[in-house]
Amino acid sequence: MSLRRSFTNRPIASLQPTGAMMLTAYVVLCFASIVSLTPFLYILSTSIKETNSLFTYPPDWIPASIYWGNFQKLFGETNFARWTLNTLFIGIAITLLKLIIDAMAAFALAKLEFFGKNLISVALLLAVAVPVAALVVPLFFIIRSMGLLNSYWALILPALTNPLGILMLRSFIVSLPADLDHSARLDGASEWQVFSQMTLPLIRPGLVVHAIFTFMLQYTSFLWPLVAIQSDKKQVLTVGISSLKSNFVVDWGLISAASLLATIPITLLFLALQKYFLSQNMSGAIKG
Amino acid sequence: MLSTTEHRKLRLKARIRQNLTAYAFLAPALIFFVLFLAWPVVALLIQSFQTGGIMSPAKYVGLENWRQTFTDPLVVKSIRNTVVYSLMAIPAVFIIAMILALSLNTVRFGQNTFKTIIYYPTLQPILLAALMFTFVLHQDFGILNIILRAITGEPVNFLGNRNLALPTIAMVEVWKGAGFWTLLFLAGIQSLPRDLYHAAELDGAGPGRRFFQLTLPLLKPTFFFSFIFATIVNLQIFDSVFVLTDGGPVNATVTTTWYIYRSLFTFNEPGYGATLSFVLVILVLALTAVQTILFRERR
Amino acid sequence: MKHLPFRKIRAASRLLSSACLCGVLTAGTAWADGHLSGDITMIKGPHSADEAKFEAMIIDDFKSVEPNVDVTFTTYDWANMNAELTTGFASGNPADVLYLVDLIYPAYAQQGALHDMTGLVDSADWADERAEIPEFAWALAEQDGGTWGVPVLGAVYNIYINKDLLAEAGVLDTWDDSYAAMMDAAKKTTGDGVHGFSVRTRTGDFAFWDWLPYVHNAGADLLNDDWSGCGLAGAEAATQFLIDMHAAGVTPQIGALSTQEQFDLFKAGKIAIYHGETPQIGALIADPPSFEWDVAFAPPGEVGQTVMGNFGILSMAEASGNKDAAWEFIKHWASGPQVGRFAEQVNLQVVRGDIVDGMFAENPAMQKIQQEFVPRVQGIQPHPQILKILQSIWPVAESAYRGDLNGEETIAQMCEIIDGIVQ
Repeated sequence: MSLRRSFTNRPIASLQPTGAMMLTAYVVLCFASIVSLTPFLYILSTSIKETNSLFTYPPDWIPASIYWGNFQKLFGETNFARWTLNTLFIGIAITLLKLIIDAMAAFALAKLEFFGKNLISVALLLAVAVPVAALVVPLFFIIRSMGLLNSYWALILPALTNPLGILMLRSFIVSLPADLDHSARLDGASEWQVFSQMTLPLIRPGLVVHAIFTFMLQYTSFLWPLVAIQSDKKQVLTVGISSLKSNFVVDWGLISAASLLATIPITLLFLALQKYFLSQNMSGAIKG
Repeated sequence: MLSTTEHRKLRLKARIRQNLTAYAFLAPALIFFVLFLAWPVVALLIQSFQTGGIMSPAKYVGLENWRQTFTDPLVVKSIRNTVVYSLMAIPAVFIIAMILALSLNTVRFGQNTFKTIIYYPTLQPILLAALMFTFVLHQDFGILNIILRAITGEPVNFLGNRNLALPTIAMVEVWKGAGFWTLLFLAGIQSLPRDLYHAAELDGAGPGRRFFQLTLPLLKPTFFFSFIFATIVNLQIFDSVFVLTDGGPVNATVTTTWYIYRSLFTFNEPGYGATLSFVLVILVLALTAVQTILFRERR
Repeated sequence: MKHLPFRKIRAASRLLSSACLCGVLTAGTAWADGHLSGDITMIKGPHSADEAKFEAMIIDDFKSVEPNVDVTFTTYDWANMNAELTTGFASGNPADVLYLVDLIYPAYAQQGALHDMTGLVDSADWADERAEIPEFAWALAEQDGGTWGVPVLGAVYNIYINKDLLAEAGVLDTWDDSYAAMMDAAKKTTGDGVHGFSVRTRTGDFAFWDWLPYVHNAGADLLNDDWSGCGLAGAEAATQFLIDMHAAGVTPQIGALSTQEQFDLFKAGKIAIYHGETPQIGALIADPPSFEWDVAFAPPGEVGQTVMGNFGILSMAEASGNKDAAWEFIKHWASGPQVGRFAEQVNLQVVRGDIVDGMFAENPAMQKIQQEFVPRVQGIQPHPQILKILQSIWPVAESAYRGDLNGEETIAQMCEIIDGIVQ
């Protein structure tokens, strides 16, 4: 038993990694890190240069003096601040709504018996494979008939449908021990009480992972906002930044500054919830 | 003592109550599911028999859109490009992610720092990734071309060369996606039963044999889900095409979603866009089904 | 559908700059007395990074005429203009005033999204202003017997030359004599990191703008005279010339650079003959390059020597709830002082005859454009499907520039596509 404990804490595929293996791993990881970060350094370097010094060859990676004009212009002359607020507002609204909607549905599918349960489960499973990008045309018409085109609702409502979230939370709830809620029910607790007071607290890690996924999906979405929103003031970050490219004279400094700042909110979220991002729960999210 | 009919009545009442409760829990999700997923799929089919509808009322045109779909060479090309792109991007990102996951699993110090750095690109919208790559790929000052020119003396025309444009789009997706799959595979590796490895080590199996005879087979379920998930996502490729190539050069990066977008807006042909969308839905469902069956049989 | 007599348009446009209509710039106050109220929105693609600032000036001036009308200005993205405008129209709440280019407005007019402004532009109290805009420009705003906007701006696609590079190669005075001379100049200036010649090549860059003057110079156009089919016959040799240019190795690698990236190379002194557009003049004046530059147009072809241009009109949405205010604002925007100042700010051409002579006093390049280029402008044929035609045929040209097709094969394949769309 003690022998067992001594190695279970160590990484398994490398029970006794040799020096050469260790060295190879570090070389691979360092190289991957460079590849991961270089494009970010590019926009960092470009965002603090004046546009006319952008296109020199060889490039001056570290400009002699830092130029803040791109950032001033971004906040002074574009709707960048609005795009950021819109993205955060829409992202948070969708995340909160979806959490409660999906958790309720997952609870019903995991814990309750009802007519049509199998049918709904199969429909959800099938729906995971429906490419949402293909639904842009009918969604456009549905949202229009609701009179919601070019409004925040146009971005919020369709995003509330993503069967993957329900399936993932269901698998979390199914894995909970059944005895607890049985005894609660015998004590006269309603299903809502079982759901809100017992189930939700127990699946917190699953909820956090779900929230992260939902928010990231929203944060990175591009096609639907491009289609559904016309007013620049209601636009989200991704489409807003891409519109900066649409000028007769492209201002790379400005675009870089915008891209750089756009990475900040999601980076902060990542740092705050790092342990969830990097945990095994993320794989649970995919396997559903 | 209750009679049988009364008993049955009570049981029925309880069942109705239970159903009502369950559907109350399900209602919000079901409403959104029907409105924004199930109905749109049906609407696709209806719209595929129509023309117009955005500014003028929709008109029925029978099978005209479908006839056009089967004769339009760009439809074939867009499907081919989409599939070829997926066949490049998915295996590449899986192999790279597996190598990175094994490396992360090997190192003792700095594991979390490396994890964070490798995961960082995954956090960014693909749109930003594509914008950043306009710098990386640039002929004169892109880092990749600065390196290539130093080695070969010639810059590479990543986006202008017909045969390189699609692989370049795949490269951007791999750069962005690698971190996600790395962490996923790492979680998979770390959740494998440790005793087996210990036994294998005692049997004298080296790291190579342990990887191919234990790790890979044991990770099959992870691969299965990952592969299906990656297929669904990658067949919808749009953002990086929109930013980097807009379908060019010579239609080399025309993907199905890009063509749907163009039909709807540039050409104002929502009916045709709906027809293409329906084709895409069928394509994705079919490929997912085939994969599921193949993986089941192999198991 | 009314088909435009293009030869006449060209003749009329010649009048545009030669006729001195001696600007008496009273237009801005001609109809003042603030009796309107409400909110209106204007949407336009940006001609400058400072577009919003320039529009605010126009709106501020409007405030002094119509203090009770609030104008909100928004922009659409050029590359994505159809999507944004379509969404606006489809939402039932589009912008009241829309700046639309000749490339896209016909499709919206055809579908009933735009207000027929015939009655407004023909009204007696606006007759003097109307007369300042030449007939060829009005013809561009007319379709199906209606008038769909007030023509305000033109955008010319011109060539920029690096005079130092051409002089060094000894071809400064001869490079634009003929296509052969242009080829010669491109070859002589190429080398040492310098490309002799560049045209845009990508669909997303609207690459067809750089190809069309060569087509027009050969007497051909996208559609035939009655728009019943392809009219490109005759453009084979001109297309072959551009194919040869790419084959000669005097251009940047085909497709590698966007037009903006090509412009950056031009600014860095690394392209001798660059095809661009006039708003870029502003960038060259604001940040002067280290060499002498000038604006130019393509050498004469078999039939003529033309310049490509687009025109923009101010339209009104049929769904607009405040057409009176929208019309007042359009009149204000299109008035001499306002459109003149805006055109100077963003380096675009005006269509009004009365203000031409006083404009661009400090900007010799733009003076030259307005006086020598505008009269040569041959625009596009505003067929409702024109954008689809252009975007569908362009991959054929991309293929040809890469050496797959000769001029004849290119035109034949393009004609097959065009006939398939219009017939």
